[in-house]
Order: sequence, then structure tokens, then C-alpha cells
Amino acid sequence: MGIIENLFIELKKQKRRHNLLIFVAVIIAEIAFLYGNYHNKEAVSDGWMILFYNIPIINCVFFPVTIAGFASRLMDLEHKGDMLKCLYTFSTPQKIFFTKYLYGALATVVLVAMQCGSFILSCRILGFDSNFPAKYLLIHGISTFMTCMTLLSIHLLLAFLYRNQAVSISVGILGGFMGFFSIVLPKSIIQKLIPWATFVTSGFVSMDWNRETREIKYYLDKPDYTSVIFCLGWIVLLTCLTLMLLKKSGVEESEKANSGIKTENVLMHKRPIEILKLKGSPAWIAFFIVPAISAAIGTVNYMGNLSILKEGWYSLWTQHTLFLSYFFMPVIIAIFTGCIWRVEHSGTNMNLLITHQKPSMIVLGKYVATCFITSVSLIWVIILYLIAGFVIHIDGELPSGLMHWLVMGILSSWVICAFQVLVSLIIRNFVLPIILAFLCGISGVACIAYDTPYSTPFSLFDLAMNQRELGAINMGSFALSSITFIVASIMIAIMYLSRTDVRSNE
Amino acid sequence: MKNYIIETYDLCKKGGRKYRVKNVNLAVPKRCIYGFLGPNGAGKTTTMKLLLGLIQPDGGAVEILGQKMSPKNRFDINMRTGSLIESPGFYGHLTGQENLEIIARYKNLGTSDIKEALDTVQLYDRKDDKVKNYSLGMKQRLGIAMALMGKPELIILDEPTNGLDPAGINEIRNLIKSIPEKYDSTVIISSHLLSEVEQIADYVGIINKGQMIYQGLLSELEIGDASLEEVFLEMTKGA
Repeated sequence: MGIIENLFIELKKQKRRHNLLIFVAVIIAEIAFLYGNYHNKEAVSDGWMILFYNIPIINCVFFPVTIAGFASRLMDLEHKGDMLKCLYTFSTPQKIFFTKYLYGALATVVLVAMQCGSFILSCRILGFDSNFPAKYLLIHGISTFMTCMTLLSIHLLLAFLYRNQAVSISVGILGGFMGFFSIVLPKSIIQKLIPWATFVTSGFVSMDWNRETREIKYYLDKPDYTSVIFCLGWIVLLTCLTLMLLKKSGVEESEKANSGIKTENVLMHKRPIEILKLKGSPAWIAFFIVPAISAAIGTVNYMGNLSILKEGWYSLWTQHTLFLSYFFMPVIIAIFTGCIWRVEHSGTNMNLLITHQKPSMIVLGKYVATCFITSVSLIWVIILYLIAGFVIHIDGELPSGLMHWLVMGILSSWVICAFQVLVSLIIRNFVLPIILAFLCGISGVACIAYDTPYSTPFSLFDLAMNQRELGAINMGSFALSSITFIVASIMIAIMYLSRTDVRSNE
Repeated sequence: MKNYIIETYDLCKKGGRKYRVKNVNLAVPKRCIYGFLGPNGAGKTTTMKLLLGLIQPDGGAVEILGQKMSPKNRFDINMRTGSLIESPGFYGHLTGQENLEIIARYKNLGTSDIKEALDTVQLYDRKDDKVKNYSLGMKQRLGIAMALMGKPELIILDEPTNGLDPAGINEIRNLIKSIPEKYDSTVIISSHLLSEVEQIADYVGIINKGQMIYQGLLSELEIGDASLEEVFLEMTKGA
């Protein structure tokens, strides 16, 4: 059977999966983000350059997670119903993979087309001149498409090989994080090698910021195709790797029927049940890796920009935590809560759980586990910060409010935990809560920008972690807002669990 | 004193516009084995889920172990029951023993209960293997072990012999037969395998298209030479 016929079968399979809705949501979020930043600006003649400068940067934050989620959803429908067993009897792994790849490529074309459309739309909304040469839109479209395809090659392969969606999404987040940070580093060839950064490194509009006059000037550069060519290289390389791995792949993961460990007696574990359920699960790893990457890149960035960052320990803190608390902590928490609910949502485990435990205890157990791991992660952030500071010999005193920031940070992260425990309970889909957390993280930033920091769980956390920059916390509002969010989320979760019908085998 | 461990009164559950279960009046006597029969999609599993409070009825009520089932006391009631609904639930990345431990800790049971359950379903040798590497039959045994552990007063088994080999079916059949005496419990078992139910059940309830069409002693159902299979097929004809 030809690949085209396979593609039609694939289209049938994806029916009612609403894959493109993720894309629509992301594009809308991007437009909203741009609108929030630029809607009250004077209509400038080079307004379209602002878009060509900013949209790649936003893409660099939004798209990696989107593509990772999309790719993992493409494969998830086969894994969920154990369909590969059946498919392998009348098709080859290569055919299955490349049909999905083709489907993904077509979807990416749609995504890029939507993005190009969003340019015109943004120009209209923001009152910018939309009479720019069409060739720039084409160049932008092609480079974005190439970048997305590279990411798709990575994530589809991961999703094909690992049943757990968290693998693909975690890699997407780590990659996005790396790409985003690498663009603040001085230009180098290494930066161009990172496929996640290509959104920006292939850009052709540069910005000049005059420190004295605080004026921003955008100007056109010659388009730089190096990173796009690197992407092409990545795609070829990944395709070869995929072909190699698919040749070896079988339906069963290598049979490890006997673990080899034999215990003589039946002994109970000491740890809490929720922690026991996480045994062997990689869900918590991101809590330690992402802060480590953030710290490493933040430190390098600090060293590279000593001329601007003159506040010693405090500047280092900003470098370490700014993006972590704005974008990545909510997402890591969402992955974790997704993982802990996923085991219950799968198969008939919910029957088991509901007959054996009170709904309130189930929700609180999950909540406490999430809070615990998040708190440990934030302490890890501080440890990394101190280590980095002492290693690079920063002079001066430690920021006096450090412990205060940490305590408030931990407390406010518990608000996000409560919210995500609720979201992941109700939305049985794994990807959606993560994307939601991501968008909410960004809306948290917006709330801070609009001076309403107590209105979302996410802005509370940003506020607590960056008090010096964003102003001291009003303890009364902070406590009131946190407690309201936590109690409301937990109560709704408990109500939901005890009142709704148990759903299994979906 | 009431002699029934479960009674339902005009129990209804809708699925969309249609009734999945309609006006079911179940009465299960204490310390018996109750065979719950019906064709595929008749509403057996739905009824069992209603009994355990896993789903909320759209009409009618369930009285179980002397209490009225509601979201509030669901947990207290279920502490005294053991169940296997649909296929067995399990955490694949944990070992068989750890899976039982999770249930045991929820129910405040001890290591001796885990060991006994493992022995009962003959999984003791494989207790340290991850459940995702178990065969279908072994997963089923694990599910049965979860239901039996701690000798609950009421045991609800939804097609417990799914995926078991002939020897396994025989073994589980003997096990279930011995439960009322050994555990002093009541067993509700649903199955398509009529010959099996015929061998172990005292009472039977037959459900078809969401409605009960027979309930009573098995001995009263089998008139003359007609086997349970013949009676069943006759009753559910035109389903």
C-alpha cells in the first residue's frame, strides 16, 4: 500500500482528536501576547519589523512544547489501545512512522500558514503598516517550517519509542529552555547548532538598543541561512537514526520478565503511598535538571554580561530564576501532576482507587506529594545559586531577603500545585494541562505587567521569587489570595472526585 | 434481622438518553454465592459499579451491608468489600507485591494478609516481578488477590476467570466455592461462562438489556432436564 493511502488512514485515525486546536490555541496566545505588549504603542512605520523580530522569539518559547505535545499525541493513540501489536501484522514500523511523519509535516504546514496569517492579523490589530515585502513572510515561513520539522523528527521518534508522553514533552521543555537561553548568549556557531534556537537564529531583523536614549531601533539584516542548513542536516541525521532504530524495534519492549531480585519475606515499605507509586517513574527528574540548566546558563550569561549586570549576587539571582519562575516551574509542576494522575486514569485503576480511599485523602495525598517535590526543587535552586556564586567569586553580601524569597517562593508554589492537581484530575489528557500551565505562566507575567499580581496563582509565584524587581509583597493580599486559591482548588477536586462517575478504560 | 447483604430499589442509570440499567431490584442473601448473568452489554458491570458507588444512580437506591450507599459513606462501606471490576487495575511499574501493599495500606492490613493473598492465587514466586511483565492470567490473579485480601464481608468479582487457563479456572472455581465457609463472606460473581456459574452459584440473577428478568435460587431455575444454558438462551432470546 502506498504512503498516500496510509495517509488517508492516518487522517481517519486522527478524527475527533482535534489536533489542530492546539495550534490554533498557541497562535491565539501569541497574538494576545503581542497585543498585550504593543497595543498602545504609536503606529510606527517599521512596525512590521517589530513583529518579525518578536514573533521568532515568542515561537522559541511556545513552539517546542507545542510540537512535543502534538508529536506525542500522534503516537499516543497507538500506544493507548496497544494498536502497534495489531498494526505490525500488516504494516512495517517504517511505514507507520513515516505516515505519521507526513501527517505531522502537513499539520506543520498548516501551523506555519496560520502563523503567516497571524502576521497580517497582528498588523491590522496593532495598526502597523502591513505593506512589507512578501518575500520576508516567505523566508520566515520556510525557516519556521524547517525548525518545526526538525523538532518533529526528534519528538516523533521519542514518542514512537517511549510509551510515556512525559519523555517527549520533557525533552521539548528542556530543548525550549536551552534554545531560549542560548539566544541571549553572544552569537556563536554553537547557538546555530541548537535546533530549538533556530526560530531566532534564522531571523533577519535585528535590534539596536541605545542605552543613553533608551531608544530601540530595528533594522533589516541579510537573512542568515546557516542555522536552517544545520536544521536540514539534523533532519537527515535524525531520519537515518530513525531508520536504524526502527529496523531493530519490535512490539514488546525487551523482555525483562524476571527482575532477578528475589526477596525472602514480604515486607512493607516505609515511604508514603504516593511516593511508592512514583517508584521508578522519571517524573521528578525535571525538577532537578531544569534548575540545573537554568543555573548553568544563568551563570554563563552573568559572566558574559558583567558590564551591564552590576549588582553582584542580586544580578546572579535574576539570571538564575527569572525565566525559571516565569515559564518553566509551572510547566514542570504540570508534568509532575500529569504523571501522578496518569497512573490512576489509565486502565481500571480508578475503580481500584475509589473503592479503597476517601476522595479527600486521594486529592490531599497527591497534593502533598507535589508540594513536597516542588519545595525540594526550590531548595535545590537556592543551593545551585549559592554554589554558582561562590565558584565565580562574587563580591559583596548575599541579598538580605534571600531566605524570605525562598520561603515565600515555596509557599506560593503550593498554590500552583493545588491548581495543577485540580486541572490534571479533571482533564484526563496528558498534554492539555501542560500547555495550559504554560499559557497560565505567561498570563501570570501579564498580570504582573498590569499590576494585578494577586489575581492568579502563577503571578503570586513570580512575585515571591522576584521581590526586589517587582516590589515587596503585601502580606495580607498574598495570604488571602493564596489561601483562597488553594482551598478552592482542593475543594473542587474533592467534590469532583466524589460526585462524578468513575471512568475507566478510556 | 435482614437476611440480605445487598438490596437495590428500582436502580436506574442512564447512558446518554438510553437506560443502561433500568429498575433493577437486586436482593442478595447473606453468605451465598450469587451468580450474575447476562449477555454482553446487558448492564452487569454498570450494576456492579452502582453497587460499589463508583458511579451515581440516576434513580433508585442501593442498600449494602446495612447502609444506604452515598458518596459520603461510600468509603466506609467499601472498606468492608473487595472487588474486581472490569479488568484488574494495577500499577505496571511496580511489582506484584508492591501493588498488593498499596491496597493493604489503604485497607490497614498487614504483611500476613499480603502473603496469604499471594499464596492464595499462587503468585508468591513472581511477587518481585513488575506487573507490566505479567501475563494476562497473572494480572487477573493479582486482581483477584486484591479483592480477596483481608477477607472482606462482601466480594464482588466481575468475570474473574477472564484469561485464565483451564487449570486456573478450576482453581479459582474451587477457591470461590470455599469462600462463604472459609471467610464467612458473600460473593457476587458475574460471568458469561454458564457452566461455571452452574457449578458454584446458589442464587442467580439474569439481566438483559438493563432489566432483571430472573432472580432466585439456581435450583428453581433448572426445571427438569434443561441446563442453565438452555434456560438462559431461552430467556435472553431476541436480545
